[in-house]
Amino acid sequence: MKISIPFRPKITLTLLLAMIVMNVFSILILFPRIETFVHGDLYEYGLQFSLEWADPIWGSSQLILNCLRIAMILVPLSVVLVVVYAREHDAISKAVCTLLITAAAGINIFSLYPFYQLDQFVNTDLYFFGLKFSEEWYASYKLYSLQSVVLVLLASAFAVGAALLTSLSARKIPNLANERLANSILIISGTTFLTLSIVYTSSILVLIGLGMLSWGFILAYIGEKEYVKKILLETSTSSQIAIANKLIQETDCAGNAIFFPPRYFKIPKTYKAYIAKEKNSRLPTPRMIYREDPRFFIQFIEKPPALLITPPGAELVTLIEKTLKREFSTINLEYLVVNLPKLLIEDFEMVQYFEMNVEKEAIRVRIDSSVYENPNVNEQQTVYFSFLSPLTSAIACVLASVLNKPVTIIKQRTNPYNAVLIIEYRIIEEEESILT
Amino acid sequence: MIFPFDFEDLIVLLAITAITLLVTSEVLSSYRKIRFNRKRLMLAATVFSIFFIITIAIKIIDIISTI
Repeated sequence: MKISIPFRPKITLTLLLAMIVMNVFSILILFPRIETFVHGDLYEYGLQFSLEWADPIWGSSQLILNCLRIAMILVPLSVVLVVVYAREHDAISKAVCTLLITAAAGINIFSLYPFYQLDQFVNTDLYFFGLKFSEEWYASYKLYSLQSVVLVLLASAFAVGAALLTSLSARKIPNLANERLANSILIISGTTFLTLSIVYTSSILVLIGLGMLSWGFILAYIGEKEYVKKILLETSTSSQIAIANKLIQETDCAGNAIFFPPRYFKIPKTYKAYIAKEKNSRLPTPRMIYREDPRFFIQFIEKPPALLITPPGAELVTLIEKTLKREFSTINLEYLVVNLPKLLIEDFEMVQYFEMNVEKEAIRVRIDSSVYENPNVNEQQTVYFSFLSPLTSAIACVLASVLNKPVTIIKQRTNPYNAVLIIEYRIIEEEESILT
Repeated sequence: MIFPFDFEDLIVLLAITAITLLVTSEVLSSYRKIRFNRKRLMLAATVFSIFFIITIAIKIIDIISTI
């Protein structure tokens, strides 16, 4: 039975990174220490220099270091192939990657053989060249050699784990985002520079290492996973808006859309738009609308003939209220003028600029570069133009809720060159019974 | 084994990071073509700036106490 697990590039890369760090530590710190210990400290305990013992020991330590160096060359190559495999999902990169990691693990494990030989020389042969046993040197030597063996074994185990993860991975694999890759590279490089700074006692390397590490973590922290491409957003919303527009067209409703405040409905926080069949018809009273069941997306009213429809921005209104952390009934227009721009620009990041001006006749709103495509109102000056963007209908619903009065869109102007949309909303006093 | 990094180096690193983050967050606050969490960037910039101010305060206290 073939075991198949999902490929996790992050775990594989972490294992390989850990192997690199351990091998760097062994090459730069532990093995040079053992060599200095044998060729320096042991002379104080009666050891006499002779090429007879020095040659094999040099040979063994060179072999250990060369094995670890070869593994160190293979691992970064495998890292590159893991990234290629995560992006391309091809069988060749997977096979080569597994092979390279396995080879690195094998060479790492092989380095234990010359290490065993070196240990044998120190513990047996060196006594023939005048070395006297002492707990003092033996304890230090044992500690260094034990640390080296444990590190080599751990590094090999990590490499074997990474090789297994890659070879057993299923075909369907998650994509490694560019941002994640940049963060990982920064963090890996930062850690390497910091390690090197300790070895070479260089403050420049510390600054570079800490800088890279901090930027790696900052980029990981500010990276956003919840973004949706604009084209996806437009595609998913446009179909709903198209259905609503088609319905309005087919029912021959000619009136302008009126956005009612929630007090018109039985269920609180209901946002609906009213489109009369004929222009210059009478505005229905709250009592007339109250009788209607607001749970339906679209309703046909007989007296007066009209359409009651949930606007495309209805859910957005709920989100705005939730984010403002204030009930619409408790805020006024001034609060909205101050806080809505910040909410739409900084919190929702829906627009690049937003401005709301309260004028005598109307409330003028300017929107720059909305995430929703601006309606081409110059071509489609129809009754349903207020349904072309979820944002414009959401603002109308917000205004209706805050002012507790019906609101309509009287004018929309758009500039396709600089993506500026100017909308004028008018508050309808209930005394005005005739709609235009 | 010495970690070659003193308090002055830390101040320099914090200053550079804080200024870069503050400028970046201000410049990119309404620029939507680059995807990142603006609130978190602003928070990171503020945290680094506060740390920088704290290190400066420590340095000033150190200088005053040695006079």
